[in-house]
Amino acid sequence: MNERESNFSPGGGGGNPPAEHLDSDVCVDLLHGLLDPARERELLAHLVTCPTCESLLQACVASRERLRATRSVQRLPSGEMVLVDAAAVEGSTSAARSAGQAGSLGSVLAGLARRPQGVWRAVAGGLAAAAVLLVVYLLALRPAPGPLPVTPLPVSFDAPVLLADLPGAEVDQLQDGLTAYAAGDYRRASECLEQKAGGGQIETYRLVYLGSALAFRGRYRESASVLRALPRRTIPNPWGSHVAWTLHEALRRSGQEESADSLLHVLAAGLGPDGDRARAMLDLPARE
Amino acid sequence: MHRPMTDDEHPPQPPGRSSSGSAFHIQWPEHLQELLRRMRSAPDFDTRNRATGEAWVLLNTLIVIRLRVQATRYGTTAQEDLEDIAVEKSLDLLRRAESGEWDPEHRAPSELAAFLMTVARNGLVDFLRKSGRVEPLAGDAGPDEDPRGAARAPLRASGEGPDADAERREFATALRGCAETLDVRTRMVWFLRVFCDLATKEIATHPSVRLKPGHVDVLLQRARRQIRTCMRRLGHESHDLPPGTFAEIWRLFRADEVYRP
Repeated sequence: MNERESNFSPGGGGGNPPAEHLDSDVCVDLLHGLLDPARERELLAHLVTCPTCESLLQACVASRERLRATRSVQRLPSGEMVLVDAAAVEGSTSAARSAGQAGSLGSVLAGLARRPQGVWRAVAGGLAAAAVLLVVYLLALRPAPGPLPVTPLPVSFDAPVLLADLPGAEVDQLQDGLTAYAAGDYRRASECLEQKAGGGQIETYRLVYLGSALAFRGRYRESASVLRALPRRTIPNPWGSHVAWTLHEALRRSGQEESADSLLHVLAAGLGPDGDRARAMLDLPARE
Repeated sequence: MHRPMTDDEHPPQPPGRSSSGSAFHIQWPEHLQELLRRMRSAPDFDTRNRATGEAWVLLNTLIVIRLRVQATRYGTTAQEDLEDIAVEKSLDLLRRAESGEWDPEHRAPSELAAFLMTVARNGLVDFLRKSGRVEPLAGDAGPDEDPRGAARAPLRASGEGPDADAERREFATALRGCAETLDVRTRMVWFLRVFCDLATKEIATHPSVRLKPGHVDVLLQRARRQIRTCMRRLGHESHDLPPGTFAEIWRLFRADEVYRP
């Protein structure tokens, strides 16, 4: 074991002169939030005065953020680890969707119309047309999704306190949206809540109600898109729970079954009423 | 070897030592071991998945840093290529950790550090061999080599005197104040472009942003305008970012809830 190894101090410990610059391993600790607050403050104070160390940190931060933006490692339900390209995910989702839609009906019709000749072609054409009508009929017969199995959120008028720092127009807009939501006017609510309201907690608050209002309007895909971007675990109940179940329904009703199932399994692994409910839905035994 | 520094250049405590003068203990090896434990044996899928993602990002950072060291020895290699090598190597390590082929559990921090240096070196040599250039420029880089030489060049040379330092600090503090007026997501978008040099598409898919590229551009434009106006009001022209600026701004991002390491 060499001296650096035995001491492993930033800047090269073990008999070397005291460090003048940030060691790259300390930089990794700093970057990943592994240092205690006092140490972190000390290092940050040093960074402000040391361009060399600052540029090391900047290079590490840039590299890590590019990685987080472009790729991630995910596990498949089978447990296999796969590298996911963020851009490819965006593209492939829509491509797969349109391919799936075109593929199912298209292949049935093509199968019917491909081989027959002469008179049979006319028969096949008739059959194809009938198939289209049948599909349309079956789609029309499919029961409309029932009401959302979630209750609307209470509108807390603690909100005006939180709104105090927002510009007047934004306060009005948000207030109108919440009032409409409380009255069950989800169209009006979602229109008002579309407008960004400052940042931080109040923005999360707005998005929770926006996602909820969109779901109650039946705009499930948009609702899922709003709700899945929220830091669900950090949102207190009843909002956190509402977000989870509304997102689950929105995903399911917008055809994103896999994501809905995945969320349900995540909820089932948790404690409390949400965990119990999810386990019941999955026919899993209740927790002791 | 680093040049000696004066007290003026380093008023705060040198970062490698605590205020009592004792050496720091590096935290990442233990953190990595913990993540790998969770990745292998957490009872629920979500925890395992999250630990996998975190371990991968950490391994990636560690390998990229070491690749930069090695790259100085083997000639110029594009940053993107180094990042690609790190992506591949870190995923490979994770798979090996899961199968038990690589078990860092009872390894000393120094052994882990040295092992990752070897992984980086082999990865780079393989890459260079495939691209037909494998000659090291000057000997072999040992695991103790400091990667700073390969890091981004300082924004500006230090040592222009206390007045210049004070001016820079004032600029950085002012910019931090102006950035604080942006909402969290817009600030993140601005930070990723200005300090991390990410393209609009990359920013759009960043987990703390998740917007359409067009929306990112709108936010960027708005952020720049707001920052420019704010800086002018404070008597600064934000054409150039002096040293110390990144560190000041990064402090701000550490405080943001949306920026989770």
